[in-house]
Amino acid sequence: MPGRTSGKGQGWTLTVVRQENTEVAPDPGIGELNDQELVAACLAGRAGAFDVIVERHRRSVYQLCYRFVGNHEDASDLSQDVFLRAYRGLRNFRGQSSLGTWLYRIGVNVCLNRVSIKRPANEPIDEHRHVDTRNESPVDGVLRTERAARVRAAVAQLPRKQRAALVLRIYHELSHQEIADIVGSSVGAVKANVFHALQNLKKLIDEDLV
Amino acid sequence: MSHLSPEELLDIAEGARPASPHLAACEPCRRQLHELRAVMTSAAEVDVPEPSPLFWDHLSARVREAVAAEDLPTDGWFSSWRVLVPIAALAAVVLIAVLAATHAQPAPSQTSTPSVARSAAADDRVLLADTASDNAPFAFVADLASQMQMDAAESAGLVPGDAADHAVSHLSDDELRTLAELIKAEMPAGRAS
Repeated sequence: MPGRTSGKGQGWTLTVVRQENTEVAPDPGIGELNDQELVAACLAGRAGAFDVIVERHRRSVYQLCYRFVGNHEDASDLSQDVFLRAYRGLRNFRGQSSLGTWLYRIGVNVCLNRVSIKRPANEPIDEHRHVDTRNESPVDGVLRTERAARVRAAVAQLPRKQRAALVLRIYHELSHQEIADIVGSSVGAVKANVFHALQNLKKLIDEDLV
Repeated sequence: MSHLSPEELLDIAEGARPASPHLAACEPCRRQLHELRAVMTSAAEVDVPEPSPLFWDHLSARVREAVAAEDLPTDGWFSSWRVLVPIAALAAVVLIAVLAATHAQPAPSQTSTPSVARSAAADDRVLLADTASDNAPFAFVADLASQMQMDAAESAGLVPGDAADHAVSHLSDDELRTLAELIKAEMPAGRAS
């Protein structure tokens, strides 16, 4: 097949040039590298290295973002932003934590700083207020499956620090120390945020049931 | 009676701490612990809705496109060299202009300033006279810039064709004197930037 085709008309000449695929094929075997090696490969300019990083971590990053914002569209945009920021900051990755934890840190910062286009239906709870039920009547047990959507919506309404601590602890099973490193606080503060987040989550779910 | 702290309750709920004897005697704390565990269980059972199978490849493609628009992160001397050369060229232009301002002679019969001389050869290299031998940074920049052929730099895209250094290097002596006078009028005499 010719790479160039020309045609002439009255007063005009049309030339069609077929452009060869200029995408660089990824290095063979790059998918077998561990995360540290992939980062080094990215910095060395090896083709496809960052694609592999994205492929390995896109699901966990997306789920993290979704837990924060509670909707697919914002989670998708945030995920892209997380990986772009990670690419820009690859030189800053020292390997002191896992690449996944490092991506979580970027993701938390992106999510906390991003103003969601789709706001939650209810106003967020005042982060300084929490429910103390020790002097109140017992609450009925939670219906699991029927409350899934309400729980997701409720998580998205939590104050940002509580939301971050809860999401990382409950859904990504990070230790309190890892969470403290990510959000830049102490273990005690993380535990307090998790505790208050759970209390507020309960309040939001119960209010939704009324 | 003092109740268990939030941290204690959370640790017990997560199984990181054994149940406190206080719980046996405090119904409110037992109730709160129970509620805490219930909410944790309820929250943990909620999964993120799985997006379309096409979403993941689409996300990767979007990231790839965004990354392609960024400069590749590279290490090594080459990336710094690509930054150093145009900076050195620009610095050389600034220093040439300043030296022209400080050493320009008013006599119109003079054909060149002590600090700048055009090569008589056919090539377009700008030779910088060592008029500031006691200025080590200038000497370094002058040496670096003197080794760079302007046309080569321009063809490599390191220096735009309309860059100030290109203009200065193609000024006649009269034009250089005029430029020096203009700069001299704006800057204190004898000071280099």
